[in-house]
Amino acid sequence: MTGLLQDKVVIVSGIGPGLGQEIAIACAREGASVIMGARTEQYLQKVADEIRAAGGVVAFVPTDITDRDQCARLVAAAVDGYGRVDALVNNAFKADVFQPFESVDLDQWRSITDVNVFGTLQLCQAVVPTMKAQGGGSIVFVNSMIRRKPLPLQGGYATSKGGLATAAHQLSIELGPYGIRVNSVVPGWMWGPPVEGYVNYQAQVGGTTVDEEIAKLTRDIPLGIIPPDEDVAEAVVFFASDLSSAVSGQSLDANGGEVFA
Amino acid sequence: MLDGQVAVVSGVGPGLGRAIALRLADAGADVAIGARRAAQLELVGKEIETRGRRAVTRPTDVTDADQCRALVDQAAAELGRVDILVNNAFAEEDWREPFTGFDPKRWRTPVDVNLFGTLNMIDAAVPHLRRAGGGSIVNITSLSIKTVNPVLGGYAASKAALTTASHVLAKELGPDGIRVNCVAPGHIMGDSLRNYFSHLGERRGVDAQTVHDEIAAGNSLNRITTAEEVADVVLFFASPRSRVITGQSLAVNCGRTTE
Repeated sequence: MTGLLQDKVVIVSGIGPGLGQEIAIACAREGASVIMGARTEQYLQKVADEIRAAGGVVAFVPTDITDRDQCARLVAAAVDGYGRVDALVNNAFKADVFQPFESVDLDQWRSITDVNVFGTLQLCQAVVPTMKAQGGGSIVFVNSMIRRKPLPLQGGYATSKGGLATAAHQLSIELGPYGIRVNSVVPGWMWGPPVEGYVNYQAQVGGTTVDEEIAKLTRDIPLGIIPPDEDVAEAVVFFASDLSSAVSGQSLDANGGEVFA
Repeated sequence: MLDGQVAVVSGVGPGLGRAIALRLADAGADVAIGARRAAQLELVGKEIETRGRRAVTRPTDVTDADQCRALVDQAAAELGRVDILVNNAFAEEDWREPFTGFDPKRWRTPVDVNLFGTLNMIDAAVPHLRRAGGGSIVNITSLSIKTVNPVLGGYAASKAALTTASHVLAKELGPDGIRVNCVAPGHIMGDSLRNYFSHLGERRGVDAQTVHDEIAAGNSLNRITTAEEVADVVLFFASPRSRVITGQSLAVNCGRTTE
């Protein structure tokens, strides 16, 4: 069968060893031409090589989304190379500094917000004229379970994602009349290199085994697994695709059932 | 997306139920369908077969647990397994009146059908889903949970109860690999919505198109959802593509709400 994103053009920001690369790979597998933006050129090249080896169509532009001109360049590369932008997937993010609220330097939170909220919105703003001119498109935000289930030491990240969730609602209202849909995928724990590293570290410092650390996480997950990155990427594909043509202003949690939204 | 899988869909008439059954068949599933009215079932059964898939049709009143079991068991016997259950059968109040002067019978019908009828279907399907090594249950809920209509309280309350029941079942059935999610449509373009627009228009002395346009303008996408678009979302939740998603609800309403 033809892929869910056949002949579509998809921009993905934030390509690293976790969810970002799986989103790019999934979109290419579903038939999209993928344009990747991230800061690390070597990693972009690595993922591009992998996608091309599988027969996919991909390009990339090293991009720091906190720089408005770089956002414009990323969108221009998609339009120049492929003529349109059907979907923008905002996955780029800055992680927390893991400090308690009472003592954290709030400038640290500000810099997280600069990336996660304003960097993301800057990239959205860059893509709107193209989507408007072509009569529609799909903007997908990657949010986080931290918004629904706060954890200590991650206040900066959680607060930024809360802002991003409200921004998604706002954009859906303002851009809907142009045929632009705006939705959020809300992952929880995801099994991939970043969480693998976290689990290994926890086992090392706690004197436990990796399996014990995994069991601590899956205890609260009805499906009994830590959802793999590539499975969470399927929810992103869904929102980028026409399967969700009547869905806008919504969020979908892909967390194995840990939190119901 | 559903090659080799078997789906059971309840509440298959001319509207959303039919669109869901045909979408699942288009995606490769064999489909068993139930509803109270036999004539419409036969028509949709033929449409499923026209798509090269096998169909089972069986008149079913979901408020009767034996009839639910008979439908699901027949699906498993004739189609070989059951992987997917879509609960679309529903009832609204028999008559629409304000809550004051409450007669419990008014709210009982929607709750009997939408909550307990759905639970009857799930109870009948779970042994088969377990045997298949897991599966997906999709419950059709409603926008009216969030933007409630006066005089449709029983319907709204029943759908809210079904949403909470879905959370509970997601937890209980998750370890068996059975996922439970809700799809919440709002207005769906079709004959009954057109009749509703005409009815509202007559009452207000405007034409049906005016009512249509007002409703559409209240959606950020400035249009009204089709049954096929709702069926596309049901397909996603039914398919293994949503394999890490359970206990969730997704509104399909062209941006009438933000959640």
